[in-house]
Amino acid sequence: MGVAAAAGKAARHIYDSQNTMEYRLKLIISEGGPVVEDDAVSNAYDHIGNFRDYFKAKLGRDSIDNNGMDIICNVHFGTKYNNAFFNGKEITLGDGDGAIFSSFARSLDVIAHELGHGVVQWTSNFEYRNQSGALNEHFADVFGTVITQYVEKSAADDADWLIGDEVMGPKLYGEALRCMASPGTAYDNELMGKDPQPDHMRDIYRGPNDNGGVHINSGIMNKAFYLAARELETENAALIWYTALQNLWPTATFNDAVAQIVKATQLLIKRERVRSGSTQKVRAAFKEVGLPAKDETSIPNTPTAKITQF
Amino acid sequence: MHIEFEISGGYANIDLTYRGDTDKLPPETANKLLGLIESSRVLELQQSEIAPGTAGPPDVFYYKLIIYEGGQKKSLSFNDATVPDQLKPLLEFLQELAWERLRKD
Ligand SMILES: [Zn+2]
Repeated sequence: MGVAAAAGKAARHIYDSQNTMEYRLKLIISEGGPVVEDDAVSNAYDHIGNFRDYFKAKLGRDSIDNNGMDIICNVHFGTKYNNAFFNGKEITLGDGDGAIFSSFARSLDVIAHELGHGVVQWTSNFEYRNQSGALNEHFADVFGTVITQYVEKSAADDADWLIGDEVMGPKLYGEALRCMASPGTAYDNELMGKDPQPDHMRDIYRGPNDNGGVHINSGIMNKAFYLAARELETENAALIWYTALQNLWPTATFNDAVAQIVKATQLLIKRERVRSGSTQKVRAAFKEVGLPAKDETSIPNTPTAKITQF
Repeated sequence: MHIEFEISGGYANIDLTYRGDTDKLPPETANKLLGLIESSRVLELQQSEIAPGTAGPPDVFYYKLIIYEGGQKKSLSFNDATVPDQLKPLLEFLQELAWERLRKD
C-alpha cells in the first residue's frame, strides 16, 4: 500500500485573470491575507470559506479531496464571461456581461456548486454524460443549495430552492436557472427560452444536447432531494446524500443512486445520525418523481449523448 | 468571409449561435475580426492539434467555429478547457459579438 500524501491545510488562493482567459495569472489573496478591495476576490474568498467550513463541520470532509487540498479560484476570467466552471483542479468565475448575467463570484450557490463538482470528482467521479452526468449536476446543485441555506440560516420550508438566481442580470431580474422545488419553472423569457427541466421520469430528456441532458435531467433528482429535505430537514437529507455519494461510481444510473441513498439512510438510522422513519420518507420522495424506474432499458444511459467537443 | 460561431453548455446550459459576414459587419468590427483570424492563424489550425476532450469538465462552454472563405470551409470544436492559447483573443471577441447580438435581439 502506498503512503498517503500529507494532509494539506485547505488554504484558499484567489487569483485575478485580469479579463483574460489565463489561469493563476495574478495572486490577490491567500489564506489569512489582508482584506482586499476587489468585491469579486473578497466574495469568492468568503464563499469558498463557507463551503470548506460546511463540509468540515457538518460532513466531516477536509476540503475537496478530503485531504486538505488547497482551493484555487480564478476571478475576472475572460471579458464579460457569462459562466463559471470547475476544470478538474480549480474553479473559474466570470464577471458576467452585466446585462444577462452579473458577477458569478458574487453568488454562494454558484461557488458551492462548482466546488461540489470537485467533491464529486474525488468521490463517485460520475461521467459527465447521460444519467451519470445528470447525477454529477444534481449533487453539485445539492451542495450549492444546502450550503446557501446553511449560511442564510434558512430551512427547507422557507428557502427559495432556486439555483443561479443571484447571477441573473438586469435583463432577467426575478428569473433563475434551475428550481429544485419545481423543475421546469425557473425561467421563461425571450432571451433564454423556457426552463427545460423535467420533474418526473416520464418526461426524462432523451436527446443528445447538453451531453445527454446533464443540466436537464438533474431536475428529476433535484425534485426528489427537495421533497426529502422538506420531510427530513435539509441538513439530514444532505448527510444522507453525501453518504450515498461516497458509495456511487462513475457510470451509476438514477436507479443506482436511489438504491445507495436508501441504503445510506438505513445506515445512518442504525448509527443514530438520522431518525427512524427516514427511509420511508426518502422512498416516498423518489416515488413522486417516478423512481426507481421500472423499465430501465427504455431510459438512455448508454453513451448516446452527442459530445459537443472532439 | 462568413462565420458561424456556437456557444453551448455552461453553468446556465446556454445554446447560442452567431452568424456574421465580414462584408456586412460595421467596418471596425469586420477589421478587428479579420485581424484576429489572421493573427490567431485559425485557418491553418487542424482539429487534431486541439486536445481531444472527453465529456466535461463540468460546466465549461463548448464552442464550434465554422469559417467559410473562398469555397473552403474550416470547422473547429473546442471548449474552455481545451481552447488553444493562440485562439483565445479570437474566442473572446467572438463571444463578445455573440452575446451582444443576443442582448440586442
Ligand atoms: Zn455544474
